[in-house]
Amino acid sequence: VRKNLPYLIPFVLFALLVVAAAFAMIGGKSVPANRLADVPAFEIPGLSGSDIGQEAAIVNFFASWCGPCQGEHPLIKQLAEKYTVYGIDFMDKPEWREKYLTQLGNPYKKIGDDADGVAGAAWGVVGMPTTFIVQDGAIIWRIDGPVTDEIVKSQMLPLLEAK
Amino acid sequence: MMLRLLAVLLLLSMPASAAVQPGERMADPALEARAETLYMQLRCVVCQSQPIAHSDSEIAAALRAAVRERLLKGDSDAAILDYMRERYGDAVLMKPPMRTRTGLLWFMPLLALIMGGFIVARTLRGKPA
Repeated sequence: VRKNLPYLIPFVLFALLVVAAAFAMIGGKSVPANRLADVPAFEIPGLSGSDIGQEAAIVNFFASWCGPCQGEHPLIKQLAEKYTVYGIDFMDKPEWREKYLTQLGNPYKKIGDDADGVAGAAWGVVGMPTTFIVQDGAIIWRIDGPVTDEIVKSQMLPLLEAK
Repeated sequence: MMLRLLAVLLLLSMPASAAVQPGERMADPALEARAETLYMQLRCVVCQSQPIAHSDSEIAAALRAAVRERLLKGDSDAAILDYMRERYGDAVLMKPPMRTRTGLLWFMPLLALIMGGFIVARTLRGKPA
């Protein structure tokens, strides 16, 4: 058995690698209300970092050319009935945005026009839509991709209701 | 003949993909040069192994716009790379930094080689016994 010990070493190393990878994955994505980052400094027509107050609010990146954004729009409208929602229109044209919001309704307290995408980069956005919950100058939650009924209920509302 | 050769050479010298749009050129040539270097150092986060210089995706264009905005604000190249890393993680850098967390990944090949050599040596030496 002792003679076979060296042959085990690669397996042990592989197991270590798996454990390290698992740790990296767990560390990367956590849902609960931590401070993920500060609300970034940004300034685009219609909205800047200083517009976003201390109380809990939603920041929703959307674009008229983005199908899933249309899909989540009714939920964003529902959330806006009770909570503050800021919209950031990512790499869009004013006339397209106009048409989009006329057709679907405008749930946003304020809308930033991020025509060249600098605000998207400031928020670390990788795709449309992306939604954040901010509070006390910090990002406390984010989702890449559309929100769903289930996500609103199980993740967003608990954070928005908490004081 | 010479002309034809020249034409072919010119064609070959064109970049395979020219994602950076003409309208993105910065007025200051020094800043433009720095921007182009930075575009090559930043990975398009939604593409595979492609710098933002070579990608037509919206996100790559957004990151290029952000690079130009930071340059105009007077940020250093290192500060701009840091700005991106804070937001997108190490993976946004074409050359990710080595850290204790990723050390195992970096040294795995070397470790495997040493272990392999150890095993081979042992097997060979063990034969007579």
